[in-house]
Amino acid sequence: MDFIVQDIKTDRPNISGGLPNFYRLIPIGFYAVSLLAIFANLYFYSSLRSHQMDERKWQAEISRAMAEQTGIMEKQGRITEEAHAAERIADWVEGSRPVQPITVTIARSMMANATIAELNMDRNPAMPAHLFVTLKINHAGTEQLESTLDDLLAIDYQTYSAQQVKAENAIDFQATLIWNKATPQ
Amino acid sequence: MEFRDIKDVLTFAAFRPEPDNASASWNRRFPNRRSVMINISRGHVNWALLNKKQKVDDIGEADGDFMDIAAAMSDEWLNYAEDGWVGVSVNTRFIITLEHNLSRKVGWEETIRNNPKSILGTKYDRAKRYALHHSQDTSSSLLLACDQSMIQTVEDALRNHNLRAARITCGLFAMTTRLLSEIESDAARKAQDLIIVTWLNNSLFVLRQKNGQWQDVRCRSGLPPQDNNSIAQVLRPFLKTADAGTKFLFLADEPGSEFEQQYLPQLDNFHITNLTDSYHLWNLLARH
Repeated sequence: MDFIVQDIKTDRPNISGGLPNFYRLIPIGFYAVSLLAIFANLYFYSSLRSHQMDERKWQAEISRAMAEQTGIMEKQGRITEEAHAAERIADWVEGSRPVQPITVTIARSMMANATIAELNMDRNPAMPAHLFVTLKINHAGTEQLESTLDDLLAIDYQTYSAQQVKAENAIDFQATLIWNKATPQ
Repeated sequence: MEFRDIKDVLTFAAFRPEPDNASASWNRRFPNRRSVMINISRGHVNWALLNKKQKVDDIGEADGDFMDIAAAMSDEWLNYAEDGWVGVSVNTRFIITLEHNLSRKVGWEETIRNNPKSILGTKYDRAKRYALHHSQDTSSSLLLACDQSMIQTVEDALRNHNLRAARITCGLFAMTTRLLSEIESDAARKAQDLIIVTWLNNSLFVLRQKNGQWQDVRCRSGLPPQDNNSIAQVLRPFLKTADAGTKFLFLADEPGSEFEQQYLPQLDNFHITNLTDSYHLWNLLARH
């Protein structure tokens, strides 16, 4: 036992000998938890900063991707528009298939020096078998017109209500074409 | 529960004994805290300022009555000591006697302080405060009896100057009992024929130990070194019984004391061991 100097003073009541050492765990635990909390806060703060940086990076990435997507969508729109235009052309080509022999026949009937200045074909919705044709030929005369009409007749198109206006070195012709095979026998 | 209690738990102060807890040593009560030690003799007071490592920082002394010196020095002591706690050594109005067959029931340390009559029986005097030191191997005990009025005077004087006594002890008794404890734990010394002389500021204690038995004890306080007759009166019975094999152990509070210079040379024909070291009293009170 350690030597302790004797004491003869008047004792104060309730002098404490100190809390039991076992209870030192309480402040030690407090400091440990505080330290842990500090480290956890530092960890979470650094994680938060890291995630914020990642978020900013990915936001920038999303913006870039969105811009790229917008560009692609615009391109797609243009391509779609072109496709629609092409479809319309194709439709027109498909729709004009019945008059293509007429056009080809008229074009092939042109003599040397003769040129087609204008060619219009309008189908009357009320009478789909009738096709109103307007043809303007430069550097041509009556022979050219007759040759063209003969060629049309050769592919079974008959002209009605034909009108022609002869100008100098040009001829304007209007008529209604009727396909003979469409007419019931 | 107050905020201070929570603070004490968090700073571990609540796990230390309180400054005036007599069952704890001084360095356990005041770890990393400065303190003041005061030794009160008749007509003379000396003190030491102990730093946080419980080493002597500064010492001082003054002649006069303790009440006057306390009034003059209280501010300095109060400024130095943390919370005003001081340790006091009473070096006057006490007597140390040799007793036998005193009760050593468990808790006798507390009993001698709170209910000394149950230990001392008819020897008990209500005007005294008591302290005990038992021999480990024999039924002998050293009994310190100090005037209660002296203790209360000191406590009142300190209280009047906002100082508090963390411990009041008798420095001579503490020095002597500490030395006896060391001798008892040293098998070689325990078997020797010894005369133990302790000296503290005009207080003299002499004990004869033979074959591990404490045989005789003499103690006087307020004994100036110049008073050859009185000192000789205390020492003579021991010198008469001493033989060539008798060894003297001398212990004082400071090396080079007047008693040491005046009387030790006269004991040249004996084997004398001077155990005094610097600041012996202050270091003893600060450590234990």
